[in-house]
Amino acid sequence: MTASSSSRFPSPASWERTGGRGNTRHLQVNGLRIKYTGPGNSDADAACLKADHPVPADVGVYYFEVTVIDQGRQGFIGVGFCAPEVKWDRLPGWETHSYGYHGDDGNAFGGCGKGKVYGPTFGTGDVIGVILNRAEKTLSYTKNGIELGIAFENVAEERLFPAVGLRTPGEEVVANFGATPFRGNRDAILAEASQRIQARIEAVPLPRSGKAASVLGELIFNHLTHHGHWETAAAVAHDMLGNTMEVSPTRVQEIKERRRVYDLVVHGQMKDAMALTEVTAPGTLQSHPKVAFRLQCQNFVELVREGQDEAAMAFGRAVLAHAAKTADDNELLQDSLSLLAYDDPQTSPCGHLLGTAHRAELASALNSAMLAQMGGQEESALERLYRHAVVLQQELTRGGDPAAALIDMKAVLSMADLSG
Amino acid sequence: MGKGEASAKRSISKDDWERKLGAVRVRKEDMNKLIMNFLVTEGYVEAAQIFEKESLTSPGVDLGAITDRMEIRKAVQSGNVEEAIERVNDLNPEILEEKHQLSFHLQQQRLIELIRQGKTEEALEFAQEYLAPRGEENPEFLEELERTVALLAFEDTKNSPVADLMDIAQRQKTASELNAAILSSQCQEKEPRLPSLLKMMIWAQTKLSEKVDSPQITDLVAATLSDPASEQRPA
Repeated sequence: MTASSSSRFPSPASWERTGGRGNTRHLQVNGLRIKYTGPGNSDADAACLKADHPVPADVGVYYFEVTVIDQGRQGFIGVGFCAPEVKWDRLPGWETHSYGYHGDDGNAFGGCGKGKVYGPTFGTGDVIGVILNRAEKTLSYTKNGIELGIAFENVAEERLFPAVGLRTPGEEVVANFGATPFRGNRDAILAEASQRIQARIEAVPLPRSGKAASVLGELIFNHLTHHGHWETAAAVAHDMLGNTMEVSPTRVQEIKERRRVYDLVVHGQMKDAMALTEVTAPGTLQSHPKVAFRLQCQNFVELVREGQDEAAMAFGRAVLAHAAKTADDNELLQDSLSLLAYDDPQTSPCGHLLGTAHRAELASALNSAMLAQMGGQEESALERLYRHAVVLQQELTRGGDPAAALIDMKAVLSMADLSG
Repeated sequence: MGKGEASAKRSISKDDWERKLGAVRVRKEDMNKLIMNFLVTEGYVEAAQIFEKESLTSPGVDLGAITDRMEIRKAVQSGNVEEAIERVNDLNPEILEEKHQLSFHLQQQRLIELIRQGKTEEALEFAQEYLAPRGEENPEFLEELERTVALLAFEDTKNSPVADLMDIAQRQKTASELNAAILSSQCQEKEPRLPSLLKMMIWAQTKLSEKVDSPQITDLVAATLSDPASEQRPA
């Protein structure tokens, strides 16, 4: 879980520079240390300082700590967050869009002069940690590393600055925005937040749809038939779907034939593949000229592979040169023809045309074309759902979604860790 | 509108979304891995064996070693719950001793099978003897027990409000729960990736809709995109 600690935006690193405006003239700032030197006679003497940057928008959980060096005369110390418009002359929590946990009474103040009972009091030597959970819109605290639970809910302000307010002489605190190790266990706090989101995802019900009782079974079955894996599809239909998927013998025949076409392409038998394509899904090649041209080119490539340079040349002149229609076609044509110029075409700049991956890719394209010709989807629902999931992940990340920042969505989308 | 929230909602049209979908690279081998992972984890050994041959995807484990798990799943899925219970106990008696909910669900499935076979008297006896005492311990179980016994009240269970219990999906649910328990007892990965991926997709779709108006997929099997809400016109 590292996703939440890095951000595209600057993070709070020091205290803002106010030039001594308002009551901040009562504060002596030295690096991350702040000391109150004002009169401290009444609430009107309170002074508050914000950090230099707000919590970045794309951070799911943000944590900082404040250590009380000296509680001063009365220890009216408030620790929390303030929105940018909140005044310097008030303790965090007194004004709307500000939140504070106060040392003298242990109360939590959220936009109101009256606090609610929250935690223990704190003073000299105590370390107060503040946890802003953007994903769950909560604000919680730790005292000396111990979690105190949620202090505020529905914390929805977009820009919140870490803030500290002091009010009586001698009060002195020092902030830690992460430059030195924390007293609280930040990693554990992040991990717990992440686990709660993962549990919520795991609890999402899969909607029932389609013909069969099992959405997963039907998606797998459709994907398998799409790619012509009929034997597996039949086993899945039997074992998972209780044979609820009705498949006519003609459809089975069609699925098997598409697989044969696929295998023929993968094995370099272009002419046979094209012939069978026209039997299974007549008109496919005519309505998909790009795929048709690629098949012709691959036929040429296969002749070159077999060392039949003369036959290749004849085929190139008689068929290929006339068949190229578009700029893409011409480029592919040139690449294919260039193979003839090399003693060892495999290692030539266009050697990939001879590779098995290239054949497999062409075989898939032909399969999609045949399906489209027969009025079906060019790709399986499973493939489409996968694309959708990837785009959703990209858009959530782009928008800086705080919940998405707490989990590793990419790990679920990558099959790198699965065997196969 | 919550305090401090921005009001403008970004919108992504269906065409733009299609373009984004088109730019995603889908590797055939990855999809094969996803399916193989599902078949192996869920114990569909035969399908996994055939798939290995048909797609040249490696199952990553010794398929022979998961035969027990497969036999147990098969038993539940074909309605032989007693056989499944016996086999699980042969394999590891602690599994059912420790997992009360699973053990209840298996007995519930057994009751459903008795009702399916029309053995009304036997079903009632079984319910009273084995299931009712557990229902008394746990209100959640009691509710499920009551729903199941309700099956007896309908001549045509398929069109009753509790029809889902007679479904093949109910057997599968029970079988999957048992399968997961066996896997977990063997310290193996128990959750297949595919359902996690789909759940994450649905969650992400809901999450994104809070801030962005974009096309959605609600029917997973059809996998068609709906128009973003801003483009929908009232009929």
